Amino acid sequence: MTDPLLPGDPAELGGYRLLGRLGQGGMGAVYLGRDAGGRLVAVKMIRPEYAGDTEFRGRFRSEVNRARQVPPFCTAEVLDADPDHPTPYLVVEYVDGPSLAEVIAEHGPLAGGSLHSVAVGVATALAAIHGAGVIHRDLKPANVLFALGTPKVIDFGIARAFEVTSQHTRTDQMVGTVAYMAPERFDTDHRGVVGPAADVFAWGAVVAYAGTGRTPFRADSPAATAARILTQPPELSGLPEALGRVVARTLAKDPVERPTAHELLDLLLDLDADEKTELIRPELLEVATAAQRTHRISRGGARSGRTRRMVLAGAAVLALAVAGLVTAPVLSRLGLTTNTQTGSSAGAGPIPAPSWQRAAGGLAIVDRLDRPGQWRDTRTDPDGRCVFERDRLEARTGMSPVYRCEGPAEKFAGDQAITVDAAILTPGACAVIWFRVTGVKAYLVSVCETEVRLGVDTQDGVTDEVKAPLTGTQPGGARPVEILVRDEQATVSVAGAAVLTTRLDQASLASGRVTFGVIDDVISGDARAAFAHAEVVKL
Amino acid sequence: MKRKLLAVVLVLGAGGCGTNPPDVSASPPSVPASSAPAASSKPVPQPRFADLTQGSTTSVVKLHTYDPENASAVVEPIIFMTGDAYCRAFKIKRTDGRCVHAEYVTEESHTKVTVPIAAAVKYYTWEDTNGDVCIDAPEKGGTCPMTQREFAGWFKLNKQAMVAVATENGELTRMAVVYTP
Repeated sequence: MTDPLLPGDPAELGGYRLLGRLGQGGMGAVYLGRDAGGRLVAVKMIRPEYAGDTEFRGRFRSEVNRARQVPPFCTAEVLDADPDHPTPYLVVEYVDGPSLAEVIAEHGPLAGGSLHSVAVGVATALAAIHGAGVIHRDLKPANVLFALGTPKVIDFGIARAFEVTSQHTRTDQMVGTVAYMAPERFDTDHRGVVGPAADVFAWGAVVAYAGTGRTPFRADSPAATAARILTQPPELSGLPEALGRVVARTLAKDPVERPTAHELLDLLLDLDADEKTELIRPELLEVATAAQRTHRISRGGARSGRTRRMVLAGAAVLALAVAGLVTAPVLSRLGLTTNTQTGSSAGAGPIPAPSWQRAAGGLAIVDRLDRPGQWRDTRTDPDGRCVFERDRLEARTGMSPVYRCEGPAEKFAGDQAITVDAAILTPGACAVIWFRVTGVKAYLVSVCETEVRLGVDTQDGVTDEVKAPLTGTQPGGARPVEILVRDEQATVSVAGAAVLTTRLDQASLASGRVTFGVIDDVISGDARAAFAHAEVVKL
Repeated sequence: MKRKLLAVVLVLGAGGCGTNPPDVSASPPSVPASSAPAASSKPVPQPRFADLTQGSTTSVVKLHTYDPENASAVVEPIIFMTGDAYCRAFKIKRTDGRCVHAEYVTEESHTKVTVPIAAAVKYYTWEDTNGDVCIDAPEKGGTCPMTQREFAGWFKLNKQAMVAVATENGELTRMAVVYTP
């Protein structure tokens, strides 16, 4: 809603004609303006008390430069700024729509596709913002606006300039709203230097608010809210279960335990692939996917010529001629020789060199599986556990006859190769490799004592399974297993010999993650399998 | 040593949300050297990334996870060069924006590797507690010693930041924070 200009408000600023007031915050007034081309814009005029602060102007300039590099993925684009103007100002895209706070106040909590679109849209914005090296610092429902029904995040990128200034001048103030502040923001030792994880925490609080109408640490006063943030688990009842699990991760007390914005987007899009795709607007899904791509793009952006060029004598030598380098498109294959810890191959003979070549620029994952890294240990799950012992990843069943270890979030589509040394440790157990994991659904390859199977893992069990006999397997003995997918045809090789080939015909399993685990084929109650030297490569 | 600033290549693409759906195809990835325009008809050099899984080597990496408790790090080897050196190495036309404007360029391997951290690993930063800058060569990271605890604290606030590493026998023995503007 636009209010009329007040007496004393300028009619024009930096060539922008000011039409009315959109709001007033700690940083200054926000006006609805019109540029020379007739486009409506939001003009933020910085408070006069900051204008004379040289240090503030420097920080403001720096932050604005960064903010201008944020791609407009679900964000209001920064269009112009003049830190050197007598009254510094910032011009951003005008988003003509209500805020999330207004929507919730008027219509109550969101559900279904609307809630999921907010979750994905705001995560998309954070991925874009963090990808440019910017931290929002004040994410809250009032800063999420709806343009024709899709969310856009506003007010990012300049909070730090004010936060630092506020610390210098008014030590009782912080930028942000308590209900959405991460625990580390209350740590005076870190005040002003919180990382992007604080924004991820705020995302969790915003989505919880959107889905339930209440913030997850709600209390009677800001001080009590802060105390709950620091000491209590979040109250998330009412959120859809799958989304609630993601939100809970983002609200972890320790920032290191929260996903990054890009990991968050991956998690949410995994939910999409699993069950919610039809609920998200296609254009939002498109933007979210585009924002995901920024994850693998180089950090930072172009800077002005003010900076001084450094000479890197011999940098080319560093990159091209250091001993021990390998050519990128041909990733060296690991673990072909048997690991003594996982046992010895029984008569497998020499393993031929891989017949595949990594796609140029394609993703690859390499993990010895001798310690937590891209695969993680799970010791407290009653369904089973994955632990790192004797330099290998050991999967064990518990209450469930099937147990899947937690692996990397990266998804592989199309042609790919998976290699790992697998060992069956208990009679009746099968070492299992899941690939193209999408939610609970995936392809799975079971390497058992007498056969190899490839099927589709679903919530209701394994379907469309094909089998091939396998000889030479001994409990405890590790054997190299390779799954090679080309043109949607999968070939499983054990110890260098192809034993099974089948077509992959599940349209819903075009891409997904890779992980390992165990199946208790004879319901022994304690099935174990071990893995070492994993490599997953996009071909 | 005075603080030295580096510039980077703008690689983020433009797009929109809702009202202005982006041209996704216009979102440029970091330009792979293999597709960079060549100055001559000679074969364009391919980027080569350090193999951190064995032997001894050095590299700049993106640090994805750092787990001192389990002596484990997940890293992505990258190439980190000045724009000028990058263009010379990959025979990119001198008029290319990366040669003219970029003060450093990174090329990502898209390979995530779990690497053990040696018990005697040493940590370094580019800025000491007095605010003095200590950098000999940008691609080697800082040279001011820091404690494991300080490094862990830095990583908490700087996920996926660039670190210059050295390995011996496939284990990380040196981890130095790389300065970026």
